[in-house]
Parts: sequence; structure tokens; C-alpha cells
Amino acid sequence: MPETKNSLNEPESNLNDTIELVLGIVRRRRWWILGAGCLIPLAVVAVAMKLPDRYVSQATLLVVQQQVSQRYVETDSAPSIPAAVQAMELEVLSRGGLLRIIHDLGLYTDLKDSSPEQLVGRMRKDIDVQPLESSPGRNDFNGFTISFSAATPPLAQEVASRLTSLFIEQNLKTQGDRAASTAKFLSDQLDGAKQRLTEQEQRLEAFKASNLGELPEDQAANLSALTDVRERLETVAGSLAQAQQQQASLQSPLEERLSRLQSEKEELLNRYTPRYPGVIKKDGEIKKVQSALDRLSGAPSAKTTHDTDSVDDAALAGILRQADTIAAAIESLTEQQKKLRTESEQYQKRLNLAPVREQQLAEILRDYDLFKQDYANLQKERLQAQLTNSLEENQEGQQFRLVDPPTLPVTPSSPKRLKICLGGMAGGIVLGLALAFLMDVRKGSFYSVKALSRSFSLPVVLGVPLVLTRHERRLRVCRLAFEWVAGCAMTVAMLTAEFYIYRNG
Amino acid sequence: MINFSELLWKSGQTIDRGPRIASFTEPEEIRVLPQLEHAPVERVQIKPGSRLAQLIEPHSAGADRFRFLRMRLRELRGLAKLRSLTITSPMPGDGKSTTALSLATALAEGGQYPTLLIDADLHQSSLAANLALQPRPGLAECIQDGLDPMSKIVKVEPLAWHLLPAGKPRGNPTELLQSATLAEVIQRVSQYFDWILIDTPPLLPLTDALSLSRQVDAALLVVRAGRTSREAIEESIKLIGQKHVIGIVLNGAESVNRHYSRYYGRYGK
Repeated sequence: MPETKNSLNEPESNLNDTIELVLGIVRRRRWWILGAGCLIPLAVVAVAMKLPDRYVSQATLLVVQQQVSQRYVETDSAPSIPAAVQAMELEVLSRGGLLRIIHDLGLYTDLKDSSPEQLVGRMRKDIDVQPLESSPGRNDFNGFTISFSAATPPLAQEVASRLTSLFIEQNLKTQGDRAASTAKFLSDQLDGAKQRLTEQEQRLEAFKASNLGELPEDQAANLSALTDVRERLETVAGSLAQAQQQQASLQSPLEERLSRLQSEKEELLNRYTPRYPGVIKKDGEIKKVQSALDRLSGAPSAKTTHDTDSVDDAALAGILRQADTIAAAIESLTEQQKKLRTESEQYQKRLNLAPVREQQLAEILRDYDLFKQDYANLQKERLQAQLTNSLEENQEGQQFRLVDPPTLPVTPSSPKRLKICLGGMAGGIVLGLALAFLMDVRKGSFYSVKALSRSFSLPVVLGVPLVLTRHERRLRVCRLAFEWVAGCAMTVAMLTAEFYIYRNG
Repeated sequence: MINFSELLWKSGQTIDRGPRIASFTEPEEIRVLPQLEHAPVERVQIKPGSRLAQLIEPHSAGADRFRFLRMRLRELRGLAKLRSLTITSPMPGDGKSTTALSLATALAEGGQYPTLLIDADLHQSSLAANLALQPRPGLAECIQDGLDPMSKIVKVEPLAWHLLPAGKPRGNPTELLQSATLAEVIQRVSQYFDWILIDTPPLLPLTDALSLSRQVDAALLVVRAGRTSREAIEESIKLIGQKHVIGIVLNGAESVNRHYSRYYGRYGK
């Protein structure tokens, strides 16, 4: 009956094949696995026992915030504690600093042939600075630990103590330097700001001086003045109109008089010569009347006043006197009107320029305000920096407090022999398995019929066991017995060594 | 030449899936051809170093595996002409001679099917030595001197099959096996035997096995577990020809004994 394939069983079949494959490798290469799994851990145990002990001394420093309330003295925005500690670490653990410690305490005598860089590098590896985790809800405390690893406990403690002191001193120095630098910086900034403010004030004054009367604050006065001028202009215009009216009313009598005087002159000329005193007088009156008429009409050649004493006709003299007065009044009013018009234009111009000046002034004032504010801020900050500086000088700022002094270690902190040995055991087993697998794969041969039939599709694929002779069978039994004994012995030895490490560290 | 790939498809691809109880009742009638009645008989001694499973442990997994192989070959014979086989391997020491002996014993079990095993490894013949038989003239003499092979055949008891020993070649064994006389020898003996197995030299070092494979119906490849590489197997199949290889026997396969002992307890002897 042909065999039917059940797809549901395929994953299970694949799993079974894999398990069989792995077990086959383990069976065939058991000595690789056992050998590596026992010998490597034993070697690791031997090495671990030989490793020198190291002792670690640790001190804990807390970062305590300033003692004066921040309401009175605000501290500058310092970097976070880990960043600050890291920066301090670079300072304290500098090449020069560490070489001094190495020289003072006589460290690394076994490395006396090494270069200074190697000694410094070695010491840096033995030093560990770790920030403490801050507890949630309490932001005012934070800290870090300093530890040093050495071959003997007293040495570890001494070096840790020295490092701790260096950190505390460095912190004070750093804080003080920062405050002083800040104060100086702010002073320099303040001088610059003052200079800028002064320049801006001068600019403002110059602007005001050169635009007097056109400034926004003059606008009301200009408007009032313009109104006044316009009123006066109206008044003048009214007076002028009146005068012109009077002038016009005088014109016709004067024309009549002129005509009559001309007729009279003609009559006289009919009888007398032009040199006749009566003709001359008449001529003079005619000239005066004509002149008065000219003046009334506004001719530029007219005389301004007339001598009326020589005029016999009193009425005529009165008219001439009136004409002179009116003409003079008209001239005066016209002059006033002209002046007032000029004034009005001036005030109007000022009013027109007011928005422009306002904008210009606003720009100047804006810059002025900015500089003024800047100056005020810098003044405030400088005062604050001076207070901070004073705080640092009195050691009331942020500082390090030694909470746990450097410990005197009792038990070695390294090497962690148990971990190393367990790692060696795991590594040995893994290496053994890897070697076993590698050996099997490298061979590239077949061990099972299943594998062979998967690779070669032929009518007959079958496996036969090895037929052993009696002698071979006996040898096989002996070999198996030996393998068991040896395997057990190695395993026991390895476990005993691990147990020893577990008990004795 | 039989295309055994087609045969595989026709026969529904029987792959060895584990131990089976391969022995089945052979017909009681025993055939003895008149021409073989007078063949000299050699009784084999079971040496301590013998690997013939049927002799040492007739009910072992190994013996059973060869019975199963016998069953498969008989099934395939029902589908195509399958009478003569070469038993070869890629490299020396893979177990082809032991396989040839065991297979011949399995095929001849019951006595119904006369079986001839020819030792064609003229460079290093081992069959006679395995059975602790005296050296005799054989195939080499038949080819080089033109002797009748039927006169050189011996019957091996109690295994119940016949052996044509290798003999002692005078010239180059490879030249002998490539001569036309070999075909005549095989042709001559085929009339009298139901199964002819030829134990050849290893394939990859020598070309003898190839020459022999051309004279028979199929080749059975013997490989050693954990030793014969995939490349060697592929090369061997390529040399013989995929269509001509009837199967592979994995000598030293793991888990055969384990599975057998698990089942043996249930079914008994």
C-alpha cells in the first residue's frame, strides 16, 4: 500500500528530523562536546584562581543646592549634574593631575618601565565615576560615586580619598570662576549698552531740533495757530473788502470832479495860456484827482499821499484825504493778507508733515526704548551676578558634600571567579557543540537513510548496520566503558572545580 | 540498459523506512540446474573475523536488512529485466565486498534462485579470503586463456550460492576487464543463474567498475556512513549513469540497530 503523506504531520516530522539530526551529531561527536565542555572550564578555573584580587574603595558625594533662597539670589543656568560631573572628571583626571597622584602615592611600581601615557591610561581604567540616580519627586538632591580599584585595600582607600578631595576642590574653583567670569562679561556688555543708549539719545535730540514745530507733539499748537491765522485772514479779507468798497464809492465823485476840473481847465485854456496861474492850479488839482483815482485803481505809479493844503475845494480836499486813507488801508490790509496767507501755508505744511515726522520719531524712539530696556536688563543681571559671586565666595552656593567617605574594602571586588567559571563552562559546552556541528558538516557525508534518500532519488535506498567481528565488539564494549568512566571523571572534576570556586570565590 | 528512474516512478518509490520483517516464506521447491550439479563444493569456515551477518547472527538487523534488499530486487525484477548487478563503491573500504557476500547469501536463501557471485576485483580480490577459501583459477584465467567459466565456478556451502573467484591475472587487470571476452563470460554464465552479482573494484580510483557496469543490467552502489562524501557519491552516479544505478546501500547507517531492537522485542524471532 503506498504511503500517504499527511500534511498535518509534516511540521512534526520536520521537528523530529531535526531532533534526530542533533542527537545524531551529539552521539557521534560526544567526545568533542565532552572534551570541550570539561577541559575548557577546568582551564578557565585554573586561570581564574591565578588572577590577582582587586579591591575597590568607594566614596559618595551629594550635590547640595545653594543655601540662600533663589528668590533673592538666582543661580545661573548650570549644566545638568552628569554633564558637570563629566566636565569635572576631565579636569581632575587630566594627565598632569593623575601623574601627580601616581608620583605622590607611588602607584603602579610594577609598571615603572611604562610610558607616562600608559600609566595614566591604566589609572583611568581603575577609576570609576558614576552619577547617582535622583529619586523622583526630589529634584534638589543628586550625587555621584567615586571609586578606585587597587591591589590592596589601604591603597584603594587612600587614592579614593585623594580623588574625592580633588573633586570637591575643583567644584568650588569651577563655581567661583564661573561667577567671576559672568560678572566681568556682564560689565563689558553693560558698557556697550550704555554707549548705544547715549548715541540713540543724541540722535533723538538732533531729530527733534531739526524738525521743530513739525513733531507730533506740536500738532495741536499748529492746528490752533492755523485756525487763528485763518480767522485773522478772514477778518483782514473782510476789512479789505470793505475798504475796496469805500474805494469804489469814492471813485465816481472823483471821476466827476476830474471831468469838471478838466472842463474848467479847458474853459480857462480858452481864455488864458497854460502858464496862467489859474490854469496851473487847475492842472495841479487835476493831477491830484487823477493821482487819487490812480491810487484807488491800484496803479503802481501813483503817489501814496497828496498835499491837500493847496486844494481850494474843501470837499475835494476831503475826498482826496479819504482816498489817501483808504488807499493806505488797502495797501496795509493787502500786505497783512499776504503775510497771513504765508503763515497759513507754513502751518498747513507743518500739519502735512506731521505723520511723516511721527513715523520717523517712532522709529528712533523704538530703538531708544530697546536700548534702554537692554541696558536696564543688563544692569539687573550684573547685580545678580555680583550677588552670585558673593555667594560663591562665602561658599553658600551649590557644592559637593561628602556623604560616604572612601570605604576600606574587606573582600575583593574582582575577579568575579564564579561568573568567569560559569561562563567558561557555558562557553566550553557551546564551543564543543559548535565544533561537533562543524566536524559533522565538514565531513559532508551521510549517516542516515533519510538524509540519503532526500538527496538521491533511486528505487532502492536502504541502510545496513556495520557488522562487527567478535573482537571488534569486545573492543567496542571496552571503549564504551572507558568513555563512560573518563566522561564521568571529567564531569566530576569539572563540577568539583566549579563548586570549589562557588564556595571560596 | 534499464532506466531505473522510470522504474522508481512505476514502483511508487520504495525507500527504506526502517526495519521490517523482510523474511517471507520461500517456496519449498529447490531448483538445481544439471549444469551446476557437478560444481565443486567449498564449505566455508566461520572465522572470528567474519562479517557475514547471516552466518554470525541470522536474526540480527543486518541479516534482516539484506532480506529486505532481496525483496526489493525481486519486486523490481518483476517490472524490468534485472538479472545481473555490479556491487561497487566510490572508495575502498566502504563495504562492497561484505555487501556482495551478504546479498548473495540473501538471494540464494531457500535455494530457489541460483545465484552467482563473481569476484571481479582483479587488483585486490577479497571474497575468497573472506570465506577462507583456497586460491583457485577464476575470472582472470577465463578471460586471458578463454577457459569455460562454468568449469571454474565453485559452490559455497552452507551459503548455497556459487562463486567465480577472481583468479590470478597475468597482465594488467584493467585491460582484461575491458576486453570483449568478459562479455562472453558473463553471457555464458547468465544462462544458468537467476542472479549474477559482480563484486568490482572501487569506482573513483579505477575504471574497472565502469567497464563491468556496462556488461550488466544495473549497479548497486555501496557507501559508508560518515565516511563517503556527497561529492564522491554524486561523481560515482555520474560515472555509472543515473539511469543505470538501481540503488544505494548505506553501510553503517545509524539507528538501524536501535529501531530493530525496539521492534524486535514486540514481534519476536
